[in-house]
Amino acid sequence: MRFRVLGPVRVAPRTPTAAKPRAVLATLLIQSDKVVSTHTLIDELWGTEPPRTATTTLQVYVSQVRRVLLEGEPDGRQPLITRPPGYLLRVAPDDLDLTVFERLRETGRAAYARRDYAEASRRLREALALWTGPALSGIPHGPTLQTSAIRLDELRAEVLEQGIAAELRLGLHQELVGELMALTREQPLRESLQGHLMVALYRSGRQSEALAVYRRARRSLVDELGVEPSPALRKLQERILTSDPSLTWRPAAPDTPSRTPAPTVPQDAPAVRLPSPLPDFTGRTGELGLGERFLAGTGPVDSRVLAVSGRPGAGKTAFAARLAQAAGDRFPDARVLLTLRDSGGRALSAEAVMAGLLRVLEVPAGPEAAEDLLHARTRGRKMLFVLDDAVSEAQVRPALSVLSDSTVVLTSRHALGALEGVQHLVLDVLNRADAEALLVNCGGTAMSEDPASTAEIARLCGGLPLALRVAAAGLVARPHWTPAELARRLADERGRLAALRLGDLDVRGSLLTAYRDVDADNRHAFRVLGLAPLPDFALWSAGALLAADLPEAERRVEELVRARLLEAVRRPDRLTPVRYGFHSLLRGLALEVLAEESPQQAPPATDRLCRAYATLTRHADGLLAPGRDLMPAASAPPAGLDPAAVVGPAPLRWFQEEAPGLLETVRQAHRAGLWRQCAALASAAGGYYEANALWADWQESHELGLDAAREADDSLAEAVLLRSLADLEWQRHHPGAARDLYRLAWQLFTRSGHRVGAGRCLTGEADVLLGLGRVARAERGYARALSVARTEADPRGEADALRGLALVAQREGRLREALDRLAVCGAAAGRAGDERWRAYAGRRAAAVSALPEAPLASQPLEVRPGVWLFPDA
Amino acid sequence: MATVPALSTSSVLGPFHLVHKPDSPETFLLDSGAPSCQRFVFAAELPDEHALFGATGAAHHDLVMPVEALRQAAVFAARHYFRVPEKRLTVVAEAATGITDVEPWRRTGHRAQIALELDLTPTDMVLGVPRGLVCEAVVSIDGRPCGTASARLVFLTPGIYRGHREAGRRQSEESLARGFGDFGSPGRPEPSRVGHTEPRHVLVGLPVEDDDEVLLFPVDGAAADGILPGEPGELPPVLYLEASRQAGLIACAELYGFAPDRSLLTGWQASFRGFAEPGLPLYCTVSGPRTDGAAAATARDAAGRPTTALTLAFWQGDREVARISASVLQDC
Repeated sequence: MRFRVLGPVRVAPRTPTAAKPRAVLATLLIQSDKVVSTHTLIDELWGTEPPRTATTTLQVYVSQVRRVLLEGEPDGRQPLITRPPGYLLRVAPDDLDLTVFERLRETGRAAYARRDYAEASRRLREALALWTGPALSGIPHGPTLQTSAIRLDELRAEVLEQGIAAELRLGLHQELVGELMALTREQPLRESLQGHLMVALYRSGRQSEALAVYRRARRSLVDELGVEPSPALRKLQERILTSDPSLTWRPAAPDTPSRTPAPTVPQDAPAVRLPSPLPDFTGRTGELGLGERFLAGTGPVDSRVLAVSGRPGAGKTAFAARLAQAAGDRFPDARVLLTLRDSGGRALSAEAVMAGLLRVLEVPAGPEAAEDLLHARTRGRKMLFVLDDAVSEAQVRPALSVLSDSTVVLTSRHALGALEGVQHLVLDVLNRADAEALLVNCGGTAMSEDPASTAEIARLCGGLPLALRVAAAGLVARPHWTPAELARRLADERGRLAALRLGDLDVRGSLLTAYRDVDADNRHAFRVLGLAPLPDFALWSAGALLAADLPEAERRVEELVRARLLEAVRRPDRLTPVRYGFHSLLRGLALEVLAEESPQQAPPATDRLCRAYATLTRHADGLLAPGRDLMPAASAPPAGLDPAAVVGPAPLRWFQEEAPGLLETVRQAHRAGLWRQCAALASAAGGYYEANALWADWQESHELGLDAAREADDSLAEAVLLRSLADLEWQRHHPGAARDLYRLAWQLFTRSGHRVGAGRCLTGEADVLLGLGRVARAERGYARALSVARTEADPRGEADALRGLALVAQREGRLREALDRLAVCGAAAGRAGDERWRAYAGRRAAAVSALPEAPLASQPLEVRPGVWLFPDA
Repeated sequence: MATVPALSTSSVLGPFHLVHKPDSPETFLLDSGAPSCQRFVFAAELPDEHALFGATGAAHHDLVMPVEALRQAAVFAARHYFRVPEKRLTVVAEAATGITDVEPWRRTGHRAQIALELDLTPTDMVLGVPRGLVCEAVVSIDGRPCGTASARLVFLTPGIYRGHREAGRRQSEESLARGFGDFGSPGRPEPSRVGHTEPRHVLVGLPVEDDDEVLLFPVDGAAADGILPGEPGELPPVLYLEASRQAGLIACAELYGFAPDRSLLTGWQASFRGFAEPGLPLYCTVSGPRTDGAAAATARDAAGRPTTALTLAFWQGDREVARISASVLQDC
């Protein structure tokens, strides 16, 4: 129902906030599907004294109403149309509560007339339930709305009275007494209600109270109106006084006695050994549906074993228990959960599993073998077993073979892929909405009142149900904390696991069991891979960190993936189609155990990672912008790393995929004090940052690199990074800062005797001058830079300076000269091997050729590839 | 569909850079566009004084900067990167801007840097050429994200454009002849009431107070000519933003007691429903939110400053040419 007038005037999805537009809407609704004249609406809003702007203001209100109405129209069709001499509002019959009310009223009255009092009561009560307050309330009433409100309230009273009359005929007199007392108190002059109350009381054996009602009603009528009660009410009083038998309610013929229930057949009590249901179990709708279909035998695989796997804390036990709890009808003989570890967390043997099953089924020990006893107990029965936290196929295979007539839900951290005829289901972390819902369900109103912090906590917990439960429970246990405070504490990755501990709920402990379940080599790999950059990494990163060749690195990471300690993400559209990453909590654990168990492994692993990144980044940068980076290589590449194989012919894609990891590695190198690697890596990434205007990454990496260069007392590295930072400021159109940085870099290059670098700084400074409109000075700067580049045989510097000279010539209107310079620029770019610059020179030449003889100085200029300068108009 | 004409260039922004961010090998190599979302960065220095009104003494930078930056970048990219033919008329169907963090918008005396991270997505492609462009931007000042801007452009054929304009003008003229929008001249507010110092920069009249829920402001389109950037013979597109700001400041002062020199527009969302025709009276209606109680409907932002939402509409006769939602904050 979109429109409501039976109470405060409302429209879904949004009601106009101002009263007058609501009044306009209500007036149109009361006369829906009829034309309401402009004059009527003006009268309704302002009465006899409309303002001068009444017509216009009315139009504003109509416009506001239309806007609101359109929000609820999925097809975008405006229901409020202009129809001279006013407006017409089209409303579907079921969209207006008044229409529905009138229809129910008619149906109820008709039922009453044919003595179908049950139907009459039902319909009339439905009609009354539509009311939410006095008709057309919350708005100013003009003549139309006033009349309508009175009429509607009267209709409501009539429906109420007829409904009560029907219910009295149904013998509901005792139930009606309370309601009628309240109604008569509200409306003491309404005789029909008083009469109904008298009848209800009389039929309930409260004759004296019925007569007292009459007395009170008469007193009110006399006092308020000066009239005596109506003949009908007086007659009713007389009938009560004389105990008129016709006033007594006569029930219908008694119902046919219900059939005696069949005696229950005593049965063996089924074995039910399940944990209590979690009242706040949240989400998993799809997985539960799949599980239910499996239990119903309608799953995609014809199987009697469902193997549920997932990382520690994913909620496998709760999920399996939930399935079993809801499956009582299907498994009347037993529903049992057996944990396949002992109290110390050690895995049970296959024999112990069998013994445990006999124990929970209360099968007494006998001379027979456990397999035989279990088989005999379960044969032909409808039983469901949840075997929780299995560690291997061998652990459960004997039990599964014995439970051949039973259904089994098996949970484990890694998928037990070697089991035959099993349906597998992987429980991942919760999606964002479910994770937030779980926090709200477990954390109460504090969570629901701060959705932003709740979302952040969900993110920091990585959607892991156990972590979410602990976080929410922590908040409940510490009511003086707020969700924002909790989010702040969880934000520190290294302290996150410590913050997710409450009583025996310990996320770290749960995750740690998975770590301890793998062998020493894999534990080493898990720890060291914690140093891999976020959010994910390619196999070559793993190889560098583990000092292993790619096949060995792949074997290690795949074993960690199988143990759910690492995730593999397949992205077929990527240059590296399989990448690896940690769940955020597991990465925190990896770094913790690395620091605790083998801190000496961190520095060399970081060094190897930095060298690998530097090698690949320099290679990719060399393909993207040949000759751009003037920084010498800082260190030897790691053995076995083939940059051409990793980057391939797609340096841009490689950068796009690796950019987050690259920046993270610059940070790591800086933190680890690997100064030269840090500076070199930042510098090698500069070309990509520049081409993509990635200002934030550019600035952060280069400031770290600059600091590292200064720590290493490497003035050439400092000059290189300063020049790149100058390019950044130039691109940001911050001419003052750019010029200062170009000059500083020029000084350092000059001091280092690096004439190529110094020459390129001159070009940069000239670009600043050109942007400021100082064309002549810019031209001198480009000319000097060109001279240096030619002397030093620097084709890239030459192309760059010629680019500037061509721009100057164009700005000065010397188009022929501009074209000549662009031709030489393109040739120099070709010698430098830079196809992008060559294409730029060609593109610029085409643009210059298309210019009129006297080009406008205010026209946009592509001053560097992809960078447009819009001069002041 | 209804819009305002789009300009090719204006001097509001001063010199600026527009950087195309290549997302594929061919866009990297050739700086070509593709019929898909293209990303750009706009960069400029914010002027010491207001680019249009000079030394107003305003405490904050004006939202006109991101709006103009977005529009100019989008219009340029449409031609250059999306190959929209010159003969098609670029019109703005919707535009919005907002402040998400007030602090960077305060003038501090040094030349601040403004940047927009722009995503331009072509729509309604016909033979590889878009008929529309959806523009979204995040605004930063001195590297700090502090606002948003967006717009939807439509590229009309001259015939359709002419038809819209003629029909709109006819409707306005007919209703004006019937007496719509005839409110007399209630006078002009002092410049300080709209955050200016020069009387000629005041573009709205004093409000006509006939109704307790709506204020009507005459808008002086002719006065805007020569002050605001625009094409000759057309109402300047920035007029809507500036008139909204001026009317909003007066309305907030009258309804809620906001001090104009401390108030600023923090949100502005416009939907253009028709062309405003030069030479015809233009007026703006402003209404604020209502509460059940007697108190005015101001809210407070996270820092506790009073803020309020306004609904504005621009009319010519009985024709609504623009519909705007705005918010005004008193920054203390």
